[in-house]
Amino acid sequence: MVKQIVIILFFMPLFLFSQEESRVIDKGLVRFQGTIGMGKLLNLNETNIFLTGNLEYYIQSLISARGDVYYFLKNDENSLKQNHQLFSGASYHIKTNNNFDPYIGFQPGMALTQSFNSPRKGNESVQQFSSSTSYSPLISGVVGFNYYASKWFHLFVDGRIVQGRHLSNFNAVSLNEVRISFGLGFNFNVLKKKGKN
Amino acid sequence: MRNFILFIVLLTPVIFYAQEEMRPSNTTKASGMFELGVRSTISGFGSTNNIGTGFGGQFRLRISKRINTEWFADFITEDIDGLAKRNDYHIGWSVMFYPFATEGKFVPYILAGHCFDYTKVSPVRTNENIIVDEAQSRLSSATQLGIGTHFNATDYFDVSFGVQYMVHLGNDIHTDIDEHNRTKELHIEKESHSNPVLEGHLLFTVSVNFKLGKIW
Repeated sequence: MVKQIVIILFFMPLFLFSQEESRVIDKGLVRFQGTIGMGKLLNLNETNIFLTGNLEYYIQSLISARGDVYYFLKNDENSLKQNHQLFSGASYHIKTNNNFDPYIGFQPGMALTQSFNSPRKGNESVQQFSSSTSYSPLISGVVGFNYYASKWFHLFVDGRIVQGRHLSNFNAVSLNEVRISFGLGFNFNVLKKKGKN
Repeated sequence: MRNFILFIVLLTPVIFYAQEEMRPSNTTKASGMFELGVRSTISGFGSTNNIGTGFGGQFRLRISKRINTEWFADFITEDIDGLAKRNDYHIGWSVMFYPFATEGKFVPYILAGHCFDYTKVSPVRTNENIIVDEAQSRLSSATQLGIGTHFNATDYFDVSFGVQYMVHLGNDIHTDIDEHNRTKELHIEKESHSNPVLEGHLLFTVSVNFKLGKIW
């Protein structure tokens, strides 16, 4: 019972925000966010944790230009010492009549990567050497949605699939990964005049 | 004589299109458009038979209704059988020719152009028992020919899919892998200046492009 009340309280702001009728999604909308992202390396079955942020500009209500940055914090299995990533590209926003904003996108990117030559397994103690740092091209697709709760804030859930390979002076490491991040973002429209929604 | 006739037949479409360019109406309507974009490239069917992945960007400047130009830079990396890595840096330009539709959702194109590139092949230290050569690099020039299509999602944005064959003229770098007594030997060899060779690869490119405005 307590859990249900907590869930209802948690979603209360959504009900309130949904009363606002004006549509926020329009040409000139700028949105940005910073949050924590987590990813699963598909070929290694390892988990990466990132600090992530993005900046997006709607050149039309359906199309936006978008840049993302991922600052690598941790890899559970220590296969990767560094895995910072930058993406740039575009998103296509599926048309709706409200402030719910589902999208798909394509973003080429680059990673700054460094690996350990012999990943540690469990508590096994192995002498580790770091590879040279290298730049790795990435191919990436995104899918997710924003919910523009007001003129200034939105909620978002963002999923991403990444394809790439870290190549250095040691063994190659696959960077193929599925990633998810969510949280609160900020938005404003640079083209709309004051007093007009 | 047969070769000459074949040559003329192959050139016929160019003659037809040249006539169209002389028409006064609408030929300058699309010209001057400046586009900016980013792209991903897959490189395959090269000398090592491995697949490379690349990141790059380009801008486009449309010259006329049927002719566009694309100026690009790419960085491509390739894993050579887990024993070496190859990095390619491309910078170049292509002319894009629209033989069919020049506007609409799908606009197919033919492209041809030039490219300059720097290639470096470096050995990898693996846990396997291997003997490797030192890294080698080269500068070369290239020419490319390909086809593709724009998908104009809106008037201001397109996604382009292209495939092009790029042939490099310059010093050849190639890798050979031998195995003797369970020891792999990786040889990275570079041909001398006196013996330039042709080396090609097929590039598949997906790009997203924003039409920023007309320059003229």
